[in-house]
Amino acid sequence: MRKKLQSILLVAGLCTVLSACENSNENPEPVQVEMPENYSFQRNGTSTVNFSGQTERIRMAMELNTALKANETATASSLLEMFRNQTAEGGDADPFEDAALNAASKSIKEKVASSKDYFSANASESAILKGYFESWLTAQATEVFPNWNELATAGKAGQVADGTSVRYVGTQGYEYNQLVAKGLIGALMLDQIVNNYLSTAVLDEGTNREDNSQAIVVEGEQYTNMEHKWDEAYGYLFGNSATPENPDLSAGGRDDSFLNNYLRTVESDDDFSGITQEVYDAFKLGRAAIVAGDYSLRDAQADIIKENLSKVVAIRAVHYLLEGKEKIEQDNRSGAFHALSEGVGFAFSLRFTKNPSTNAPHLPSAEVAAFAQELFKGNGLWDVSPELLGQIASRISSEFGFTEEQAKD
Amino acid sequence: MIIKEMFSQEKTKLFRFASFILFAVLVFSCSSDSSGDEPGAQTDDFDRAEMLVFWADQIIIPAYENYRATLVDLNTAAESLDTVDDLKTLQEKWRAAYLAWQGVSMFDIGKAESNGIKVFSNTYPTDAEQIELNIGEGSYNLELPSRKAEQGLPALDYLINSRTLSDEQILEQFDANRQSYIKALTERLLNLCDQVLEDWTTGDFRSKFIANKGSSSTSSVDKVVNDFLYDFEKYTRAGKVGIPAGVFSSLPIPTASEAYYSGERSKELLLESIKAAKGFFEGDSWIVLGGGPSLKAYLDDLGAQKDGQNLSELILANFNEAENLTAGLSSDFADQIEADNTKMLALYDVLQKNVVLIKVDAMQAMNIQVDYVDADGD
Repeated sequence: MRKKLQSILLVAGLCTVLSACENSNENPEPVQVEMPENYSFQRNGTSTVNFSGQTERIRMAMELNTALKANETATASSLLEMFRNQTAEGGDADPFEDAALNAASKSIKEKVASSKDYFSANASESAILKGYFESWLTAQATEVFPNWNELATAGKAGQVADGTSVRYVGTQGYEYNQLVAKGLIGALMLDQIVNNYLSTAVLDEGTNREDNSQAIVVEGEQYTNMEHKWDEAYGYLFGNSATPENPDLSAGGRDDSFLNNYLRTVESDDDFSGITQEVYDAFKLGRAAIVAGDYSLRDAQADIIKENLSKVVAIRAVHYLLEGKEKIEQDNRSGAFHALSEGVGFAFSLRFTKNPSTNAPHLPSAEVAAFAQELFKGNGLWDVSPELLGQIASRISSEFGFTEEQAKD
Repeated sequence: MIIKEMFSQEKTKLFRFASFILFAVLVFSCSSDSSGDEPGAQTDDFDRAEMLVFWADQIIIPAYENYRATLVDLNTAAESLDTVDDLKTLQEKWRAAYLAWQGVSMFDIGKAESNGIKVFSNTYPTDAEQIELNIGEGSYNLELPSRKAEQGLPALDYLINSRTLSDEQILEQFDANRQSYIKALTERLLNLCDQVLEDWTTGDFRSKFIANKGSSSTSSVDKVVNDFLYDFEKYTRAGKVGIPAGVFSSLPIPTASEAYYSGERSKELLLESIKAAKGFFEGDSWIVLGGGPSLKAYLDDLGAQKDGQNLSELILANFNEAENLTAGLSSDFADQIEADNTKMLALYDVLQKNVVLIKVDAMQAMNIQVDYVDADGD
């Protein structure tokens, strides 16, 4: 930590020196895009920022999270209706408490594993990934709910203790609600942000560049198409903030139970502090770059976001896998299931990370699938070896360039 | 219990005197040799292995043995409940067990961690409503984690004590179902304790514990220190004082006091808990007169200071102040909270001061990382 601070000070000092030099050099520079103070942009005195669809999906997912624990009221079909915002027959459903969500024509499912970069020509894998969520939702209702007041054992769903908390697991020891929640962080939030809305294929689609450069707005709106795409990416991270134009970035805080929450969890680790501000700044500067028509600056900011948000998923995967590994090593196997359910959910989400230098996930999807096969075989977590968990954690951390020690606390 | 109390007071005094001499010697020898004594230039050559052996053999295992003996008595006393004398005996055995529990509560390691003895034995406030349902139905699975507030010492408190009923009236309620529930609770307490103690004695946990002498986050010292701190922060400071005094809520919750139904035990339970924490910190042996390697010795060995003062002395002074403040309270915290809650809050502040000294200063000096965070609610 101290070392890190020193290097920050050093860099800050260097910047001061450099900019002082620059000031003495009177050459006129091309227009410099300045870092906006807030995520707030206007045209003709009206805000051009809109991400209501993203906020809605975050809220739908939060209601789904709650329903996954409603053992007395939720059913497999009610959970699936929440996921699809449709009845099993494809008719209109009203599965949410919040009437605005029922009125919405959107659903969680339509955007799961649906990014342009990864899935537009890969409908078969998209269907498989969506299918996992539906199988977890169904199993929660058909496997876990009926055994709510039973003690879980290998091959039998029920309760396990996790310190002072009670956890409800399926036959393989997994908390399906955790697999769903942590899986959505990758399959919905991360995938939509880094592989869809911040993808040049989406930002520059059709005539987006010309339109944006000439400030041609979408019919009936104040924003250009490109601006809007960028905002939609922003919405999946900060859309549920009380003040989304100036969101709370504090360590350990949360505006939802998904990517926002875990970015700020990572923020509270000294080894990664500053990450939230870095992501927020990249969103602001990238958006300002779009307004200024500076597309290389835009793409540089997109890369910063892709890099950091992918890393958040990897850090939390390693963190929870190691926590679970330690508990198993201390003969507290069932006490490890909560951490492992979170860890495996995050590991599942690695499929949706993007390495800006390869434009692919950091770990090949076949490798993630091979891990999954090991983790879900036989009695699952009741049998899993600490060695396997250590191996997966070590593979992830070395690929992402942080140490296991850094991810642990 | 009483014998153990007198015994431990005696040896504490002796140990203090011994450590005072030791301290004086250290100061003297330091003043003649000023090299390598810069603040911050701490080296760690403390013998952690020796401390682990001492903890296992002279604190943890004897504390569990002591607790187990009280549970055997409690279990026997729950066998026949026909007369008021039977009830009084049961109440007295329950009290002894509850006091002895304070000596083991912090050692949440090994089997204790995996079998959940801590949450199953002392989760309060107890769920009186659910207890009545269980008794009415006559069937219940006490092994379920979700049943933690329907069992343990607090559930017994509800069943065998009362703030309003006389002993005769309590006894009148003891139908067959109620008696068998009481018996199920005492058996479960004993069973949980047996599992833990057997793992330490006939199982291989003691050797694993001692062998794990390194300084990683999963080493025995790091884990025990974390357990000690966690117990002091969450169970002693928050559970026994802060929560009932309303530190975490808009109003005080006197019914959340430990041993609420007894109407007279919350103070002595807190005192016993502080004594256990202090004794562990000082390395107070249960077996022989005097002390052994301890966190205090470890901190002194490292030369840990805070604002120019010896850190271990500051922590001890806080333990003592907490004991003194507690001594001035009503024997029943619910009464104390109603009568004058400011005294509870003042006590809370002193306990909190020690949480900070241990959690920040001492842990940093010993290079031990805090391994728990406040629950994130998911």
